[in-house]
Amino acid sequence: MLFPTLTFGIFFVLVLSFAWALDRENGQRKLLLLAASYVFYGWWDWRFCALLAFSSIANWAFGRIIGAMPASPLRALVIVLAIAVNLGILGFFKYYGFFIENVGEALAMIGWERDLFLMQIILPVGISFYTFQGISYIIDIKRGEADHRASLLDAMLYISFFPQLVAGPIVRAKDFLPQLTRAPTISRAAVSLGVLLILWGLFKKSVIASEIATGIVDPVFFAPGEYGGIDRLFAVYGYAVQIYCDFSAYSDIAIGCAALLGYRFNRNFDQPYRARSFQDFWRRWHISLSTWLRDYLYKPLGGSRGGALATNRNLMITMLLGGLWHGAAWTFLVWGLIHGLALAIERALGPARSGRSVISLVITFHVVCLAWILFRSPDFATAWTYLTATQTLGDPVQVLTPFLAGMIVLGLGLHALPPRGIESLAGAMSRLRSPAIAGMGVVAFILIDALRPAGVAPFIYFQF
Amino acid sequence: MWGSPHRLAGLVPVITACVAAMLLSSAALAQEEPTEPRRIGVFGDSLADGLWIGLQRGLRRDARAGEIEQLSEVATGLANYVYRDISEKTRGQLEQGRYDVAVVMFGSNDIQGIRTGRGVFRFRSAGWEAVYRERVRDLITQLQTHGAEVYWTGLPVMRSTGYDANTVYLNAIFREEAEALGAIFVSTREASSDENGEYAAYLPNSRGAPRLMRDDDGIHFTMNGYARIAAPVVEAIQAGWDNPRPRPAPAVTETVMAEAVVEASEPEPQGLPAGWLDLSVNGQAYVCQPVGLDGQPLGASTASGAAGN
Amino acid sequence: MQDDPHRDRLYEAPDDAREHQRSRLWLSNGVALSLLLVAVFNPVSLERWAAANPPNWGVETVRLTVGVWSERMGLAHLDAPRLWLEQRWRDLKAVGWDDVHTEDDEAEQ
Repeated sequence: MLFPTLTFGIFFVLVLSFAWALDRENGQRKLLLLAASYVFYGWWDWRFCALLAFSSIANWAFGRIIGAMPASPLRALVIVLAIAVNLGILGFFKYYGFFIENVGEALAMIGWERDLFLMQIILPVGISFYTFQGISYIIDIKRGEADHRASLLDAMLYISFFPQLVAGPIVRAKDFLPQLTRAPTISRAAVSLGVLLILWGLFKKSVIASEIATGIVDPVFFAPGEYGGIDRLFAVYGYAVQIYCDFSAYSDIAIGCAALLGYRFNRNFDQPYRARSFQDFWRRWHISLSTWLRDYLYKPLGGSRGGALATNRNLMITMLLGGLWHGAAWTFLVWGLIHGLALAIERALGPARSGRSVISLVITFHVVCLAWILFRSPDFATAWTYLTATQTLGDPVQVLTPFLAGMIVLGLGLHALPPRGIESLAGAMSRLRSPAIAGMGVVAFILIDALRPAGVAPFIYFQF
Repeated sequence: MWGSPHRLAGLVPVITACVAAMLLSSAALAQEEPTEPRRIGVFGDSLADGLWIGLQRGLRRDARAGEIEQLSEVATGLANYVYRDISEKTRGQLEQGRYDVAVVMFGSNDIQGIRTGRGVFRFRSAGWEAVYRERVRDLITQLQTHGAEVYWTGLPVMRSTGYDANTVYLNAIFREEAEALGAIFVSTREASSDENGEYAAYLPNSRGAPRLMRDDDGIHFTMNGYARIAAPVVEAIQAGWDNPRPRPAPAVTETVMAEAVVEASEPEPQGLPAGWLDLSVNGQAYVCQPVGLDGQPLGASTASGAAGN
Repeated sequence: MQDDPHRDRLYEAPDDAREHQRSRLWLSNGVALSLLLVAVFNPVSLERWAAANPPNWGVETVRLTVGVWSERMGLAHLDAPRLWLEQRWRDLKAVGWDDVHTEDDEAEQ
């Protein structure tokens, strides 16, 4: 089920009712949430549930073994094995086709034609997220930050909890497992926050992101050579707004749903286009992923200890893999490369240079947009055409309308709002009585429902 | 019968003008050599969305192809008119634009019951089929009346065997109804299957290298896949342009040249052999009325009298 | 829980059971009232959802029932806010660059 659909709304209201009816029996509550998570996941394809169950049980079993062993080479081996199982699952389902096709092309180039075993591997939804959570579980236990004696129920719920299962945020074991040990309690502020986040997420996704995507981004990125300079420029800004609104909306709805159920996740986006340097950008964009990469990849590789060369190498590896995580295509790899280079250059220029001026904000934003062109383009040829088709630069505007321009400006203008605006609003709302909250919520809901495009959304590839 | 020489001389410029007007208007009607490129409209569901992409790529180098418009919409079909009434929607689209070629691809969302006033016809029941065929006929007629050459694209091979059996059933309906009305049915089964005629996710691309053609759901295609199934449609369209078939005249004519009077198909004016330059405009015979140098019709005025204007 | 810049005081859950009960009641009342208000002012969204799904007994029952209900609500003009919003939105989307320019020209004069 996708978040902005009525089916999910009905599902969630039901789960919410039953979960709070069971708030004294934590065990039963967790079982309910686990069952609901499998129903949610199985809605796409029931066969995916088997993989999810296997991944959860395997990680739990490995965690038990690792926690019980003293530090030894054997323990290190088991840890490596556990991580390899997770990465193996991810690698097979997500990258097999990519790998085989490229091997085939490489072999063809040197004249070794081979009948390679081509299989269509269906990509299970959310696999990138829950395998990363599994790895987080293993490593947190190894570092002693999470309890290896967690029950199977807790471990399975941690990995498959439905709000964050398909599109993040990537929740850490040490943050979530302690919350599962006792039945959650709730405050009015948390409820207000949850409701606000869900409504805000729905607005960003259904109204802002959808309009921009269908109105300007999709047509221009399909055939950039046919559009003039203004259309192309605004399509890039539009995509920057679209991907921010889309992604942050999913995270907001996930965090909001979890908050309504009594669990607390960290915020995943923090007005990223306000960043004045790339380092700052990655502290604001997809925070759960960047911190995961920092804690489980960058630091174990050595981090910034060990000289400039080692640091840059670690940086590049982390960003390249981070790029590849987003999808099995060379364009994502190059996107990661651009970000890695930008971070390395920034580091080389020294801290004084990444100043706080507006100029650095504008430069950072535009380099990020340049990278987005590669992220969004289906192939390098399209991206190249996008950037270099000079003969059509002066063409008149075809797809940009005042409405779309306004939407793009609105999307960027959201970054000028106070950073903790929603939290302050939630605090204010928590002091109101429930009819007032219900009224405001319904007004917002009707607004969103009236404004969003009618009908089913265009085919979205849930490629994560 | 032909009268005196000066009468004959008077006929010549008139006949020349008539011939010129006839040739130009017949050209406009039969659309052999249009002055502008042909506009193509793609109607249908999400598979038609992809077909549109494939047609764009396939017809890029053909100068005869003008703008290819995407008029399709995800999750629509001919079975569920409660959600989206395709015939009404198409009517609106045809009023807004002018299309010379209509490519239609429906069916993937039609494996469901049809709602009627009192109940629901189960999929593949007799009542369902009757209503469905009627809707197909209605759509084709709408497009043909607008003046477009209809190319109904059949559904491709599907991964799920049950779904595939249903698409075979639907394709048979499409083929029968399309060919009965003079539309062209283009099959995509060959383009979407391997050499054994079965579903295959990897198929050779134009250079012979196997590429992933199908999407994860076993129904939709990748970009390469859409280009592959658009190929037979492109071939059919280009064959249609190479050898245009005479088509019944569209209901609304925009022939700029045919300003001549349209006479009832009554006795031909005197002096002209029967059957000469037989042409009809608006369902009526276009008759060249010889006029004299003074502009008045020659011969008996029975034809003009019988015009009843 | 360590001091985390991404988290907030709002997330701190009360240990007081009474506070928890009152909050829970507040949540339940809010949800119930919201559902009622949505049913009165925006029932068409449920009807559209049912229309989009393949027909069976359950779906058709929902669709026809909610259809009649939303029609009655419409007769009482309770759908007016939604219709007004949709119309304004359509008008906004239809604005072209020329319309924007003529406004500027008029302003300059």
